[in-house]
Amino acid sequence: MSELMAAVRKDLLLQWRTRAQAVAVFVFGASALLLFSFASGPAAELLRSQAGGFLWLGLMLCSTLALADSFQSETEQHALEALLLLPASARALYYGKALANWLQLALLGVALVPMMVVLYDAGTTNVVALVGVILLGSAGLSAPGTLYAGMTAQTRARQTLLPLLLFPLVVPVLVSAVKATSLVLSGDPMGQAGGWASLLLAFDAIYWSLCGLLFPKVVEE
Amino acid sequence: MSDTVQDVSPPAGTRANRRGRWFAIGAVAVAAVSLGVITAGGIGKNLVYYWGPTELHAAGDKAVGATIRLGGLVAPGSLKRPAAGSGLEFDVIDRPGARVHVRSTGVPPQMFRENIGVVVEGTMNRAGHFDSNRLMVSHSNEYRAPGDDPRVDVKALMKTTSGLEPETKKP
Amino acid sequence: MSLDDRVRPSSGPLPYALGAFGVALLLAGSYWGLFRAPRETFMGDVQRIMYIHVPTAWNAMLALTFAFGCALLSLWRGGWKWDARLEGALEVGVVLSALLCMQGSIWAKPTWGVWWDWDPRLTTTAVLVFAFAGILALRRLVDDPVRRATWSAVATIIAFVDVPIVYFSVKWWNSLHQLQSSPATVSSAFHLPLRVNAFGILFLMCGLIALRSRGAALRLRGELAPPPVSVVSPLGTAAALMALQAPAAEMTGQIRGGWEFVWAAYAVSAAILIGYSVSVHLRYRQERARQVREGTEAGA
Repeated sequence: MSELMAAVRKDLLLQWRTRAQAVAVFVFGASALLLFSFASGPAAELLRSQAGGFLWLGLMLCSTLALADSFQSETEQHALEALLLLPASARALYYGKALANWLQLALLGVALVPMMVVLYDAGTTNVVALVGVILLGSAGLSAPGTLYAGMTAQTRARQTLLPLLLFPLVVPVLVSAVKATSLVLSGDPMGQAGGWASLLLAFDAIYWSLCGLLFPKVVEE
Repeated sequence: MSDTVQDVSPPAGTRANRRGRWFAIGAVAVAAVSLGVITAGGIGKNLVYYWGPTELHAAGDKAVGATIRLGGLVAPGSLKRPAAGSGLEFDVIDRPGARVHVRSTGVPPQMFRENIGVVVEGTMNRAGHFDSNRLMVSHSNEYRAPGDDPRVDVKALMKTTSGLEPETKKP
Repeated sequence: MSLDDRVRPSSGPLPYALGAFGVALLLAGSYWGLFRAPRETFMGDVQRIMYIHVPTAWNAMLALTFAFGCALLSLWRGGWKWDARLEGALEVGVVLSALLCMQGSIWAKPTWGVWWDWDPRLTTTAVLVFAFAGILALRRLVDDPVRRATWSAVATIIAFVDVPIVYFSVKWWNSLHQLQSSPATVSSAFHLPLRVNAFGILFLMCGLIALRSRGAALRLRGELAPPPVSVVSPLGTAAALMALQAPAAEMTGQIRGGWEFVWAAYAVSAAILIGYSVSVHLRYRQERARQVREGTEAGA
């Protein structure tokens, strides 16, 4: 447990120290949202109804950058081998990084919400529900994303491999998060956002356990 | 070659190894239970849910302007194709007898006809009818060859509209 | 798995025998389905595509399930044969799934009016193709055999667990767009060609996996044994063929499918199956030739 705390602290500290990169990633996401609005044209009704989809597409694009960066220090400094003296250590490393990535993605998501409100005229007073969906969805991106980032960081084609492996896997996250977000934004008269949130929760449970189980295999020498 | 390959896992029986095993069991259990919840839990029922005409009338003003799914049977004798332009008008009824008038834009699927189960997506108009932009027909789950029983069972058709049943057969 | 373990590729004509038997069954079953089985009441002759489509679906899932099993065994039991079989099962699974998408698309056009209509099974299969093709790409880009084996096994496990999740999420998401589902009851008049074709593809698939695994094992032996040879055999283009969204056509509501769609589906299936079988065979021969060459150069 203390290993986990140490790992989380280390990764949060790393993220804080490289926060300029996080700003760049946010700008990337914001430009993506801007481009979506140009691609769809000025039809207000269309933009409002698709706002949830655009938000999550933007966040997913950001995640490729953020996740790939998360193993940067380990690869550059060859710190990976040094950290892995015991299998328990590998697991702590994984969960520490996954938690830090989760936080980063969730913050990115929340930061992109004002862009969504302004560009697509789509907002809601139910902030709690919106933040909840963002938390659940980014957790679903973070768990498999951290695993694959750890894998691809050690290959030579890391830029292309990470999204190639990750995106088909997180289709359920995309589908559920977009649906839940759209429902929250539109008032959800039939009360269905909870169902999508349950699917997200189940997905998160499966992947946070499975990826933690498999990560030591990915980094063992 | 073998002496350059290090075995980094700890010897069996150490604390780390035992902890690792408990973790593995726990992880697989959590994953299996969550998978079970997705496949067999009731999450899907709520998501494929639609309102019948009774519930739509009961919802009253809540339904106006919001995207709703309405399901039921196409009332016999109610189908009208307006002379100008595309689109359809028909009534949707349910078992207790409530009735909603639907105006649908767009082209219906090939199998659309009276007395078939149908789900429309759209919104309730203030004028009292349902404006729909999406129309789905329930397709009976049976493939029949000539010589099979040709009776069309209305009750069975209604049953196939009542949400997606879990598949009973492999594809 | 260590670099020390030995690789023993199989030999003998078994894959070819399995393949030939499978092709014979396929020909018989397809003949029956195309010319002797009765027409379906609602769908007409277009329904005959089912006789090649449904067996492909069963076997694609079977291949990927076998890949999952190989991945588990590769990780926890070790031994290079499971990695070789994993490679074979992955490639055959991807090809069959891609074929499934093409067949499904051809079937969709006359029945639903559009090439693609977000049917949960079709959509899940498309996601599957991408997911497992990505794992094949991963294998291609990793040179170290031990790492390649471990990573592709991990990725296969994760992707396989994802399949039901994708299916259910798409099913619920799609419920907004379509109530139509595949048949739950099939009249008994249709059973015979369905079963024959199912076994046909099964035997063909087993032959293909066996032969492809043999090729993979040969290559592995070349990678592991001295003299060090950096060998990555080209995976060919078979896994790259996918027919995804053609522009959606206007639904006129009156499209009546005909024999042209049936022929198209069977032709595409035959072309892909034959082409892929030939490709696996040629690559295997290439690998064999290379081994013989290098074995001779290195001396006894």
